[in-house]
Amino acid sequence: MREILSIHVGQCGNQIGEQFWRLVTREHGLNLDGSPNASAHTDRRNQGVFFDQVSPTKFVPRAVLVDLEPGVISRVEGGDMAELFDSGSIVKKIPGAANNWARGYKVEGEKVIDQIMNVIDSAVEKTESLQGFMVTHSIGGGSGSGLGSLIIERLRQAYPRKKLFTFSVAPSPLISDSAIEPYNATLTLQKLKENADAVVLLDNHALFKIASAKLKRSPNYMDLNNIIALIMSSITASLRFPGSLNTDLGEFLVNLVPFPGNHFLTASFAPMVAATAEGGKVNAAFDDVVQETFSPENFTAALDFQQGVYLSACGLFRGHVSAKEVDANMADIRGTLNFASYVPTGIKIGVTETPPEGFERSGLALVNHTGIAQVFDRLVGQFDAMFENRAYTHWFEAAGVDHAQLEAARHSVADLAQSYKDAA
Amino acid sequence: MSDLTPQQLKDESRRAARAVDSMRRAAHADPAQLPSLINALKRLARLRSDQGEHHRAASLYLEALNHVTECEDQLGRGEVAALAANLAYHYDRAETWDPAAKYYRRALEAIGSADPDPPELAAVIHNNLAMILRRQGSYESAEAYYKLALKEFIGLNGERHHTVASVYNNYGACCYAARDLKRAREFHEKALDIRSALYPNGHPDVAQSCQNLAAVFDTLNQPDKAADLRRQGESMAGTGKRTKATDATGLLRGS
Repeated sequence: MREILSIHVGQCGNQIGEQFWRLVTREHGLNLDGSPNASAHTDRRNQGVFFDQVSPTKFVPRAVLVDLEPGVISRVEGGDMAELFDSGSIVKKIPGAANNWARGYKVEGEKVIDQIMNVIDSAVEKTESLQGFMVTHSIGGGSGSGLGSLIIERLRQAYPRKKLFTFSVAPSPLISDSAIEPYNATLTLQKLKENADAVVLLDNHALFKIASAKLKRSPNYMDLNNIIALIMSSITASLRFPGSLNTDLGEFLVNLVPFPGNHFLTASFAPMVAATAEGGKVNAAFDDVVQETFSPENFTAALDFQQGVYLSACGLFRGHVSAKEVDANMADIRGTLNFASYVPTGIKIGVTETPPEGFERSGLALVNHTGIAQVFDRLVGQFDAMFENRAYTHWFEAAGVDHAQLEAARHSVADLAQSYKDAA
Repeated sequence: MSDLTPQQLKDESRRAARAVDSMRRAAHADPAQLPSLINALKRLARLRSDQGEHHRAASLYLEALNHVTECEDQLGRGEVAALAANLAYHYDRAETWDPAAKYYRRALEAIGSADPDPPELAAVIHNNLAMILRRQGSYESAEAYYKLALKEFIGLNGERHHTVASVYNNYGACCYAARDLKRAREFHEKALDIRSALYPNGHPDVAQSCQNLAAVFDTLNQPDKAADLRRQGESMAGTGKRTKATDATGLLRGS
């Protein structure tokens, strides 16, 4: 069994986690209390990737839920998923990180990191052959960014050979929750660059635009988190369900990351339509699914695909899809993507028979595009505007992060942007 | 160190890990269960340490220490001191001196505010801090701690106790390292005197004192005395095991 342990950090990370587990329990024919749904006809052979079977009638998510303020987790514990998670894998503390990376990474993080790592070690001990970790968090706040960075750093030290995949929600260019988001995000990106194997960047604004356009109504955070959940589920589908072209996390990474450190990806899920009524399934034509999957407007990070080139791309299709259809459609897509001159234009393809819950078929694109440098440049620009005036830096200094550390992070992210531009 | 075989240690660790999981759930539902979680963490930490998994053992001790601080009212500062000392001892055994010294001092702080009459643990920590300072070459600072440890152990246990002999032995080793051979001889002779009286039929501690004193005589260019002591020490090889302490003296470090 190639298990994956999910770690949800902070308010955003746990909201995504909630949606994700809601989706995968259904995909695996489980009720929200972890008991098998008698009416579901599910192939359970690879259920152990995401679930630990603790009794014949009980499956527990391989998940660790962490937050420095109890709100979101308590809501999950008090809701319809109250019986799903192992309460021994939940770490929630009172003080909060006050939206400050430094408090999450240092002040509060240092108090709780050993407990978190012990809980993670215990979850890892319950696996036979752990493939890696999936971390969900935001990089602009305090807990997800600061504590998330600390967890990622410690995971890399403790499990150097395991794959570390993060789903990282970046501050939107238009919507800001906090004045110090550029500092928080810059400090987190530096840690993600140093420690993660792959980072799927998700931008709430891009997600909002996609959801508004496709759902034809004003979306809420649950809609946005549902898109992220579908992406996470699709990336791991071929590990969990039978398929003709199975692909594991390691294979994705080999294809997606041409240079060390250039592991920042953007993703697209299709078909992006409103959920159907109970029991119904979205049945989009495969040709349309493929076109939408690789459509630039459908990607989850705000970048201009005309600026720069593709370094790599993966397409993962789920549901009733023939190999012939895949080949024919992907031949067309290949011709439209502007790859760097020195990389092969092959797109790694995966096909899994089991579609996501509520769909007949679906597509997922994961791409590494040099246009991601725009996201980093934009962040560095916002960082510089504040840092040149030493605005808000006292909050970081008070929590043990000095100017030199802030500057080092800024240079690291600027170098990252430059390395993407050089790769073009 | 544990007397268990590697397989027994592994099995025990597995059981202890399950106990930690179970107590985590209990403490999650009811914070009044935190003390039981702390005990489970301490047990698992000791086993991990015996398995040579120093990093994981430290992490478990640190978590326990953080929980203790959360429920100090229930457990008292004595528990903080005991846990900090256990963590320090763990680092000490793993030869990571800086964190070891840090947590020994934290334990002393907790003891300081808890009790006007320092308990045996304070004497143990003073000895162990002295050992760390000696290893770092700070002989003068080490001496100050050895003196404190001696005073405290004598006050608690009397002049002729094995703990007093241990500190004399360690103090002697410190003087030897500092090339103060006169005092090294004096302290090793005191240690040998106490130990010989306590264990007239031989004991590894007596053998250790013989060997240490022999090294001093070698350096003093008195090879005959050194050879006699060595023979005496070697004759005691296999004369029994060192006493396994279960109280604070279980943390006492020796040369």
